[in-house]
Amino acid sequence: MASRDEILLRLLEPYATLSSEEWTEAEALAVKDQEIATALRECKAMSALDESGLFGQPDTSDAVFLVSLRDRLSKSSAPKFGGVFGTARQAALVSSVCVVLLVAMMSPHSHIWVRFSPLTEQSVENVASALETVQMYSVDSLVQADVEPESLALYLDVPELAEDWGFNAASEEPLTDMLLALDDQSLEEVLYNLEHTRFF
Amino acid sequence: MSKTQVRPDSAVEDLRLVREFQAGSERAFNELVLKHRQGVFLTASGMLSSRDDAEDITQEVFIKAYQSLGGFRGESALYTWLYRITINLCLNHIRKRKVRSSFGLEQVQAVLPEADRADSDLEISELSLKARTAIAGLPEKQRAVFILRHFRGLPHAEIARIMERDEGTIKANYFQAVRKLRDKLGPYLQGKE
Repeated sequence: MASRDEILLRLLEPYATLSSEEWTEAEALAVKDQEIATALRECKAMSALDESGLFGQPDTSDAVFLVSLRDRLSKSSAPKFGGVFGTARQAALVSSVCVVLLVAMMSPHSHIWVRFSPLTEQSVENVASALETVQMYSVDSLVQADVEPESLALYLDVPELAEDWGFNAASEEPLTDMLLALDDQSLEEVLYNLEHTRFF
Repeated sequence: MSKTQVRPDSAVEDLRLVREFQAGSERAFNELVLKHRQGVFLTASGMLSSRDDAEDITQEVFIKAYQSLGGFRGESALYTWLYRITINLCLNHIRKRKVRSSFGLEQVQAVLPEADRADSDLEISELSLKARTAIAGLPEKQRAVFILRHFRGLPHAEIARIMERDEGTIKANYFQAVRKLRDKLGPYLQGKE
């Protein structure tokens, strides 16, 4: 037989969960125990509370609810039959991203990593050095640079000119030297050459 | 036992319907929805004290269920799983409502005016009205435990799984909730037999 305290504790439970023996026991004790009698009445009254009366019924019928639910389902993602792997769409998205990353990693020109890696002090120095190099070879510096005639001839795509003119790298002023050494014949040749030289 | 309380044979039937759904039967999912809609709705309604919010939560529960049932292995009963989703969504909803209130984005409402307005057309007893107010005044987790135990008729062990607490804590929560309700409803409960 349950003790008085046990019965009081059980009467806190919903009526439906009490066994018929427990209920009979409580009824018997309630005759001479006011506290149990009160607990019993409260248990009955609480159990009689109608949930639908308390919280109401849904406003929509089952059919309307199903239609509305199906509508929302059609707009949301598909069921995850893959379990932990997620939906097919998610799996496809993840695989695509992985493929792109793998290709980027395997590419000989993996510039993508430059964007991903944070700037270090070393990389800042490298960038600064590169900028200096660019400045060295700027248009201004090219104009001011001492250009070798041979290089110039090559640059102008007339390599034979440099050879014909007899320029050499040691001569600072090749044209003056040539003019000093000219005789009539040579002068005619020079003039001829000049006439036939196509300047740009 | 009320029609929204869980029957012992319910879990077996649920599992059969889940297996059919996993095999591609949409009709089986519809059956599951219709079977559990009322229980989910009343649980949400009891938690939120608003029928509109409860309707939304009910739909969300079944959307989540639809999306995740493929991975359901039947280690726990389906209703345990559904009620866990319901309680979690309700607790999140209450949290969001509190945050909105704290930022002044939403008028703070007294415990139950919304539900009272919604049901103004219903004839409800004074006891029901007081009981509803008293239930809404319970702390959220005690409220959830009370609803699952008192109205859904779930065993303490099952509620412990739903709430992810140990069974002793759930029992303590339930008894505290009942005592608070009886304290508030005492005169009304005594007059009703």
